[in-house]
Amino acid sequence: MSESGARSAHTTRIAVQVVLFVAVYLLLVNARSEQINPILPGSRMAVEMVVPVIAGLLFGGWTGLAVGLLGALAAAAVATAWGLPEGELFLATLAGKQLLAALPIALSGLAAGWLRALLPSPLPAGSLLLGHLLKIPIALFAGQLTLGVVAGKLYWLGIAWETLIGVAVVTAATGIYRFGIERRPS
Amino acid sequence: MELTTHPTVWRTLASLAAVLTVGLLALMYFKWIFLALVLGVALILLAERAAEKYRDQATRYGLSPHTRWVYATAIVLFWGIASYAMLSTSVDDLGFAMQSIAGRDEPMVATYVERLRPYMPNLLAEERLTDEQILEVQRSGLRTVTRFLGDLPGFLANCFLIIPLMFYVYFGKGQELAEGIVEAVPSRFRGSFTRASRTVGSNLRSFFEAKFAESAVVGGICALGFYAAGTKGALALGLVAGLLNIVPYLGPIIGAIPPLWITLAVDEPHVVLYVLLTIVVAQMVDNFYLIPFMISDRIKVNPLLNIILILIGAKLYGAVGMLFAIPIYLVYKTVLRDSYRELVRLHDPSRA
Repeated sequence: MSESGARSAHTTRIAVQVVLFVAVYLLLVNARSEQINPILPGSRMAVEMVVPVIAGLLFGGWTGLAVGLLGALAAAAVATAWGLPEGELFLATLAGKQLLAALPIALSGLAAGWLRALLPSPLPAGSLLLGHLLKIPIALFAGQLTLGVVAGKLYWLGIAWETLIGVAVVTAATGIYRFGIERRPS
Repeated sequence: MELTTHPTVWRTLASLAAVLTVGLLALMYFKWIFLALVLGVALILLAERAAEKYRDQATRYGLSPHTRWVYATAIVLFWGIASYAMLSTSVDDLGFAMQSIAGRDEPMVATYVERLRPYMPNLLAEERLTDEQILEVQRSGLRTVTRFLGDLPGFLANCFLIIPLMFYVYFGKGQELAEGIVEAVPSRFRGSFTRASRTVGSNLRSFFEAKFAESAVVGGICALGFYAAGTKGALALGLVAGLLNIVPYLGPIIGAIPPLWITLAVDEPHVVLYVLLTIVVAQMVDNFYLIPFMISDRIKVNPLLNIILILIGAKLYGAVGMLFAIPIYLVYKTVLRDSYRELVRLHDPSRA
């Protein structure tokens, strides 16, 4: 295969990977099940945040970044297209939350890809924590959170719990992919 | 290659095959113990593989012996807590769903029929399906479940007794035991015996790894799909579907029953379609990608022979036979092929 052909095949493969991961991201955002954080009753766990981290760990930071950014923006667009709830501020809706979280989620995907070469598994999956931490000032700024809540110990325990579960899901998913789906050279 | 006509070779091979078959029949007679033994072997091979991977990673990142120990303990603790947290929530959800089903007065199957009637009016017309038939379906389903649940404690007791002992023997005294067995073999057969044992071990390891990988992928897809569909206890049901997928052909069907049963009982009938779609996607990935490209590469059994062996296993021992058809074939194949080569070398060197 010529160099340009190989490059084009590589680009196509990355595009397919990003599209598949964005589809999984959308599936999780719109899932009928809700994972409630047991430490913060009433708060939904952002399960979809694991998707860019998985993409970053498997296919590199830029793929993770693209999945996070495109996934969150697509989720916001889909939620808007399906109709926003009346009488609610845009930033308090699912679409608004996804729009605001796009950058933190994308950066956690990028960080995962960068950390995978530096740290043994499952530590790079801890980049999920970066996403959670970056979401806090944005949520405070947008009025989705109050300083009183963030100052409480329970809030941080809730974040730690969500990160722990997320790291487990990311490690299991990447392990399953590497062990079961990735083709090895024969 | 032209086969030998030396009678001693064939007599010895026939005796060897007879000994293997008697051993196998004895194991199949105590099938729950056999199942526990096979589970033990599978777990040992997987644990060995995990330890190998861990050692590779530790070397790659230059962890000191002390750090390796601390890190390994932290990983075990982390997985213990995370698995408990995820599974307990999922099993709780499942339990609540089951309680709500059990609390109903009308027969379960009758509830399903009533819910499905608007969608399949012809198939489920009143005159075609009588109450007696509905009750019979329910009774036979319950009989199967009760029989399975009746066997389960015995199997679990066997597992708790046998598997820790197997781990202790393999990892604690494995080397000593292997040397003792090799020493008991006549010296002229030692080389071929060691080679055959290694090949059997490597084939079984490839088989269990391939089955584990297949189950993990199918289970993962099912858990994701069930979660998106809103099925109660999505993770637990995905795990069950993945585990049952180990049994060829029959497993995916049995694995699909619990999520369909629960969704149909506690959710809207159209959600059943999401669950069905998940199962179909998982099976498509399994049959069109995993089996032809991943499993066949690792197991190296002709696809047609694979089907024939599974059918023979099913005819002889049902689901257990289907599950063990391939590993048993691999053991027979290696032992008989290596013995044949060795016997030809001894008795008919011109064909060796």
